[in-house]
Amino acid sequence: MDDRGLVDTVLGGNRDAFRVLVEREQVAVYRTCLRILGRPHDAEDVAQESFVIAYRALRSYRGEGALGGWLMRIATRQAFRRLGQRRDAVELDHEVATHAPALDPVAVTLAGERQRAVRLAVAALNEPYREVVALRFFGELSLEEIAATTRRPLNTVKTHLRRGLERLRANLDREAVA
Amino acid sequence: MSGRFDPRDAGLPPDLDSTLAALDGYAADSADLPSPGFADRVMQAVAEQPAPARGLLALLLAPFAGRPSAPVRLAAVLATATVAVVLVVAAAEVADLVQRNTGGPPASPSVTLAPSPSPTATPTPSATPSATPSVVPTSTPETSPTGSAEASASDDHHESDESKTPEPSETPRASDDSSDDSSGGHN
Repeated sequence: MDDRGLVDTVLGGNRDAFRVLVEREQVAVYRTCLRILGRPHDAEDVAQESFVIAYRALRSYRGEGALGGWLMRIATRQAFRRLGQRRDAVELDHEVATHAPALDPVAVTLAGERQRAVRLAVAALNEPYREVVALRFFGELSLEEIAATTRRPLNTVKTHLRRGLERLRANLDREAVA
Repeated sequence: MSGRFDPRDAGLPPDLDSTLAALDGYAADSADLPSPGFADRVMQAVAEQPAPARGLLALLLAPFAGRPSAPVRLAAVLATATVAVVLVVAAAEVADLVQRNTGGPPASPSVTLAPSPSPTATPTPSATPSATPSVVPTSTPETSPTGSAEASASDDHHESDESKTPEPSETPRASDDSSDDSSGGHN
């Protein structure tokens, strides 16, 4: 079933058809949220919230891009919003490195620091650069998918990506010096 | 989802390679899976939501889904305007029928309908009386005490309507004079 057919089926009253979308996109949505938030518990929470928001807003899906990209955009926005809400909280960034193979505590600590630096550097970007970088590297969307989902020309997306990466590099350099 | 990223696709300069490597490394390290039962929990949360039914407008526009062309849009506008006109005419007809049927027995309305032109005719005469009463009341009180025929006749011959307003001041004299004249002036 294609995206439009899936959406029409759900809108026609078949709520269970939404499970197809959940099972198809759950890994990508969860990983995106985890890469932004750094905590599995928060990532699952925001991923579930994103699916619920997508369900409620399903009739606003216009079919201009893939349904997965539309859902991913909701998820990145929700994740950055959650990240902004917990800025005051103490950062505990051990979770992302849970499946790191190294048992050396120093290596684990260094890997965690590196991951934290990347995550915070992306979060510090301004829009629209942050969204493009997050959709590309955290959501793993292609540039064409980002262009369709955000309804921007492909060249504009490329420009946003390049500028976003340049600013990200500056942020990472600043973090490394600090 | 596309997976790994080729920087040449976006025309990125080579000095961004280290940044790309950091992003790729971070993505690879955080490629976890959600906990078991995640989809069930999502569906449980979805089940508590109201169904995202289509709106009325979406249902009406469903046949035109997917960017209708200009002629189709024009036809939709014309059809809407036609329906609106038909509805207005129908509402007027219904109102007329209701008014006729609530008027009582069929004979009396035919009688009551006849006077309806008369109110339209009465306002038009009302304009002409407005001019004549200004003349008539002024002349009648003054003529009543005296001999009216002579005073009004003499004024009509000598002066126009303007001469009638000074008449009250003259009529007392005229009444005296006229009595004198009538007694011996003509003689």
